[in-house]
Amino acid sequence: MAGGLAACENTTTPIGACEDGSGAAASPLVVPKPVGPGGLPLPRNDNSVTWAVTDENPPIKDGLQREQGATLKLYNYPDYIWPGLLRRFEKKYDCTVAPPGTYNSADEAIAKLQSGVIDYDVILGLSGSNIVNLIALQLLQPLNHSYLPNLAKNIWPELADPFYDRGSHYTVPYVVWQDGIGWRNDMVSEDIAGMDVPWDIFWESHAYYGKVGLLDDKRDGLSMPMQRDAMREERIPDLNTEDEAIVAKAGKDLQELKSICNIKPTITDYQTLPEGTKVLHHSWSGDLLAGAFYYMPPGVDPSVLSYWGPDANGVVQNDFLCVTKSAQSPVLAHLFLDFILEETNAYDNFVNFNGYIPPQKGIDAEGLVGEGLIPESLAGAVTRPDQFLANQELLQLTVEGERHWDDAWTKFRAG
Amino acid sequence: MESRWTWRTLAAPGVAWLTLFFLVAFYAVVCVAFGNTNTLNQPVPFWNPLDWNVGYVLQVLENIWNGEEYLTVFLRTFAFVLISIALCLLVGYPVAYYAARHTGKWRGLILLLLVLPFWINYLMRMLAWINLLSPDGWGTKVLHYTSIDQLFIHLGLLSTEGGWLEGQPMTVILALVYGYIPFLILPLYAALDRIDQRHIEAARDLGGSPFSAFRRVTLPLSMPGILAGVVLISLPMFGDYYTNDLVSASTSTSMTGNQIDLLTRQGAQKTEGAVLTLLLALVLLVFMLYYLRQTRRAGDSASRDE
Amino acid sequence: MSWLRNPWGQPRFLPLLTGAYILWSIIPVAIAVLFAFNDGRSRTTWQGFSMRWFTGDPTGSVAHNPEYTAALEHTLILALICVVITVPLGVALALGLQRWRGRGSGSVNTLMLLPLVTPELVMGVALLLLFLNIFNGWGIGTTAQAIGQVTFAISYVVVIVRGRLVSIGREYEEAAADLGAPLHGRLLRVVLPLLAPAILASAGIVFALSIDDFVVTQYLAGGSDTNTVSMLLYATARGAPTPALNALATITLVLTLVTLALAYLVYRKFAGAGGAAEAATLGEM
Repeated sequence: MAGGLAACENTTTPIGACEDGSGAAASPLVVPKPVGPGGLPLPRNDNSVTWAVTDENPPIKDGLQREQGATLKLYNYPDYIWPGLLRRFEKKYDCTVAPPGTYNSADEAIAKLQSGVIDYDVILGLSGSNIVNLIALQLLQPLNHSYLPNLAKNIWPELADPFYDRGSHYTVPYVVWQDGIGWRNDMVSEDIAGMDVPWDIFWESHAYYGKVGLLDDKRDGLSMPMQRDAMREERIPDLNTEDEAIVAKAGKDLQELKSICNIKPTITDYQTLPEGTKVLHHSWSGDLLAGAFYYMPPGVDPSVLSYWGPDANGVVQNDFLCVTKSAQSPVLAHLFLDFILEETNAYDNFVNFNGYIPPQKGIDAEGLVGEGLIPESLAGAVTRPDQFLANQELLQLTVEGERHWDDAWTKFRAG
Repeated sequence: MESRWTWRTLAAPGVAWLTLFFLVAFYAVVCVAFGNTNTLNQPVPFWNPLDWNVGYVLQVLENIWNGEEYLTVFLRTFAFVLISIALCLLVGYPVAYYAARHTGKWRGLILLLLVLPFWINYLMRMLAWINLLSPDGWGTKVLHYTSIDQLFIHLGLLSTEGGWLEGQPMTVILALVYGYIPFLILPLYAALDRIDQRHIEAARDLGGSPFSAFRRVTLPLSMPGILAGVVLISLPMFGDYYTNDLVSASTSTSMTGNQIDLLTRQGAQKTEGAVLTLLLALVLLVFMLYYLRQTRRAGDSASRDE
Repeated sequence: MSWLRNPWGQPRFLPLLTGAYILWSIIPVAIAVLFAFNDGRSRTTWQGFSMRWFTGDPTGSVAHNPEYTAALEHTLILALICVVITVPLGVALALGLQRWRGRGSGSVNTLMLLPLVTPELVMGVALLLLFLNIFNGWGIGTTAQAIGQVTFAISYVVVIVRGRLVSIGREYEEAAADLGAPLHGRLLRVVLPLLAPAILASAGIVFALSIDDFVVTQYLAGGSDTNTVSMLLYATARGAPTPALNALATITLVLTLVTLALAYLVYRKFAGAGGAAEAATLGEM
């Protein structure tokens, strides 16, 4: 029996990966950069990647007619695009937009897409944390920019040609946000913004047992204790670390929160904070604004919501829209992308429902604070282009690195 | 009369279907569990047993051996199932007994009402409780007016007033009881119904009290039925994940089913998920085989009467 | 107190307990159904009777919510496909198994019973991996969902039909054989008509099982057009949905109960005296 077992292979290294995570065919004259799924390079601020457009997967031709009587299928986070916007698109292009398929976390989306079920035309809401997955799985088709005039016209230059997709061959940006803390200032007595290390509030939230939430995403969730440690020790964290010890410690810190405040990983803070069923939440900044714009119960003023986010060394990121390779209505999909990039549509989506800042040159989000549309307590939830420089993005890691984060997160999520 | 191949041919499509979509499916689980992943995190099954890779299996076993999360959650699941089944028996046995031994005109109606929850969508039954136990739900209000919630807080079974749905193990256990008790009552009813009334009358005639007649006649005779029923509901309970997701949604009450669900459906670690599923199936195999033996005995005796 | 202690009958607490259990069992669902008819948006405060969540409300009702109607449609389609495939397969398997003499019948019998005792999560994972790695031509989606549902429903049909076969015995068949009828004639004109109530009853049960199924259906779901009512209930129950969700659940509840009531009536009318024994066999499941 033991002999039989010894004859069996015994490895957890994925097929096709090198033990140290670097690419197999690296020249000895070059210091190898880390590679990710499928052996593809990992985009970083100092290592921008241009995804090639190949003959096997060409973009659609110029000047095509849009598909008649088509149904556009979207794959999105729940409650992440204003239904009114979809109706407007339907009217303008005489088509139907099916109720979007939803996923609750980027991991779930990738798990679903990996299984080969790509019945969608457009995917919204994924970001640089998963772009390499999408390319490696060959899920996307390259974009034909002749259908996307609004990209160059309206979008912030930094995001119109991002480092993770030089030339925007496969993606266009959707919205931007920051990871921070959202709370009900009428139910939480602490002055969170005034604390030395505001992240500590989670570890001191026993008084709010059962009413505290964490972002249900392995990267955002685990990065929170990392930011806390870095802030305490006054150093810059590496939120794309692959150091197993650091990631495991972050996981352990999160597990402490279970007994302190019975913290729950959810993404519904845009509903639960206005309702008051949660009073303290690790939040994407846009959720607070969405709550203020759309989800306040009658009689509750939006100024009861507060938000704090770090000025530097936190997470500031954007997500994107992309068109799937097997899209049934690619022309319509392109028109949809351009529709979202149009300034009025982006603005209406933002203030009527979505709450996340679209990277539009012409939208002065801070002005909205002055106008009173956004309460003062949420002024910090407005994300500006210069914040990208001082903060970090959560980007894709090597296979081994992702696995460390997966392990720590699984331990927290179901342990 | 007819060749013995007639009946085998008739059975063949069904057998082929079950072989293909049941046995082969299990083989797929085994091959994924003993397989590897590629750099895209997709599982790569190894179909040839000689190629099998024990890396992931050993990793999970090591996790269990070291008392890490797979073990702690399994122990928690085991505790939940044990307590739930005990409560199901406590309530279910007397109800089944009454329904079986009752000879009045309401028997049909009682039976109907006992069978009814069987056919109501499980999720709808949980939805009903989510409505009732939400902070302004009728259930919460009733429990508050009768001060039962204070009692539970005092006993440490409830953390905060009105927080029934916020990660309380007790809510999960009671939801499991609510969900699975009909599946216990029916087999118990069948077993109790089969007990010949004359045995009990004989015990009473010999001078026994009703209670001793129960203890020495009814209970032992119904024991096979009790065991069968307990086994029957423990199997789905061990694989339950949706009850916890619906009435608690908290990591502190997660069950083994939640771990498997997280790994295979909600995440991209299907190989680990397959290993965990395999281990769970092996643990439950003992129960499954026991129940199958019992059912076959009953089935054989039925066909022997033919 | 002496009323409770009844020396010649059963202790009185038994009917009390049973009554309390039945109330506890049914009332929560009854309340959920009640709120499907609520006039307001709340699922916890009664605001008057109205049918708005079924058809009235132009944006919120089930009839006007494309997600809900799509799910309802898909649920029914799946149920119909499931019945159409499962019943013939199951009847054939039941006949074959019951009459099978000789080697192999024991293992086939075990194979048939296995889906009944396998936890659905295990089946869900197994089927998911099957359709991702072997049958990736079909992949996951409606086909996979239908196949998965058939796989665990077959056993129910077999058990029900076998129970009926046992109780009708072989006299009629033997009489027909003595009169010179060939095998297929005997099967078609004697056995199947006698089995008809069981076949119809099992069709009803498979229909109800399919509508209420959750785990296997969710695991094999593909795009959002393969959502069923169960999956919607799971996804939205903890959110802040309107009573439209209760309305959707009530619709499927009514469908299931009507189907089962019909199945039961058909069975009772044609099955006659053998019914009680078969009901016990069913209970043994």
